[in-house]
Amino acid sequence: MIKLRLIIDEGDGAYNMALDEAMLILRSVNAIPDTLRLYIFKPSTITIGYFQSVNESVNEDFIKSRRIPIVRRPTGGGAVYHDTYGEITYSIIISEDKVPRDYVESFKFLAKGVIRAARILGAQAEFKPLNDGVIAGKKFSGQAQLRRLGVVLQHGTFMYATDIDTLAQSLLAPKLKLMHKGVRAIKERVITISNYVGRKISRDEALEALIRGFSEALNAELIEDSLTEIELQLVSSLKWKYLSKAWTYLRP
Amino acid sequence: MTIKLTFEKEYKEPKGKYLHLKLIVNDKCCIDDIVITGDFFAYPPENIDKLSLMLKGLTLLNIDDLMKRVENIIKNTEIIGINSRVFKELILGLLKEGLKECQRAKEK
Repeated sequence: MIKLRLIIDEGDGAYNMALDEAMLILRSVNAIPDTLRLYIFKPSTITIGYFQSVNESVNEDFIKSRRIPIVRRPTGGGAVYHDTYGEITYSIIISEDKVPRDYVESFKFLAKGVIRAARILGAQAEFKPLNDGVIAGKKFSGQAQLRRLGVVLQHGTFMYATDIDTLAQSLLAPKLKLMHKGVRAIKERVITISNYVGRKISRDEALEALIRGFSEALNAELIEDSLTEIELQLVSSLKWKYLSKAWTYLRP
Repeated sequence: MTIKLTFEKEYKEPKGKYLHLKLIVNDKCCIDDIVITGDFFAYPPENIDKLSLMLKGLTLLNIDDLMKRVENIIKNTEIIGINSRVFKELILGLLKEGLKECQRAKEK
């Protein structure tokens, strides 16, 4: 059985990305233990992958009209709409020697918690390579990963009741990508757990399912704790980057 | 007036990730910019930025030297979601296309 510190919190996009990066750095010098963080984005936020172009992946006119902020992640992958009232994000910061070396296998291994959580809530979820959690062939969870200094940071989404209309209007997908997926629009390829089970899942239910899901799937003892002083200090140092236009528009 | 030529290439790996390359070349056949975007993963990610920065300002006329430089960076990068060989070939193909069109434009 592995031990994971459990942090439950919330914040804006810059705070959330800065904290994930801070944890990766601090884990690498053994200043913090292996950690599972479950958090929400407040306000609802778009995150885009490290290599993505803003113009290609986000409908800026729409998100400006809705005052939805955008933040670039330190991890690769695609754009995500993090709905304050319908999505919980997880991040796992863990020593690299505790996960499979193969990247696809490690995505799958660390996503086991969200798959188990969806099943706890009644949805027949499964992992679909490269980095998706799917229900009935539609995506309810996407994972992204970064490895540095012997540590893995994997964060991912858990869409229990995301507003799919807002998601579909906020995000853009290249035609070439949709064509390969055999769909015409983003809306056709995503699902929430509430949609699938036919009732509104509450945030508390989703959070409880995630805690149980990660604990069971990773055979982990979760020890709830609060952030350390050094984490908070490093977050305030790193946050400027995620707030800056230079970072967000690194690839316009 | 400086004439700039733009070349683009999109690629979606079957069951993998998306890549978009954009190359901007000036009338002296020098690379003004090369933008590499997509939803793939790369370790270390900075190597992709390094690749763009390294190519900026270089002449396409020394294509063999450019190809060696690109190969060297990609060799030291783990790309996830797009086959590394395909990734490299797409960049090299775009550089070659840029050179060909630039030379043709100069001849006119």
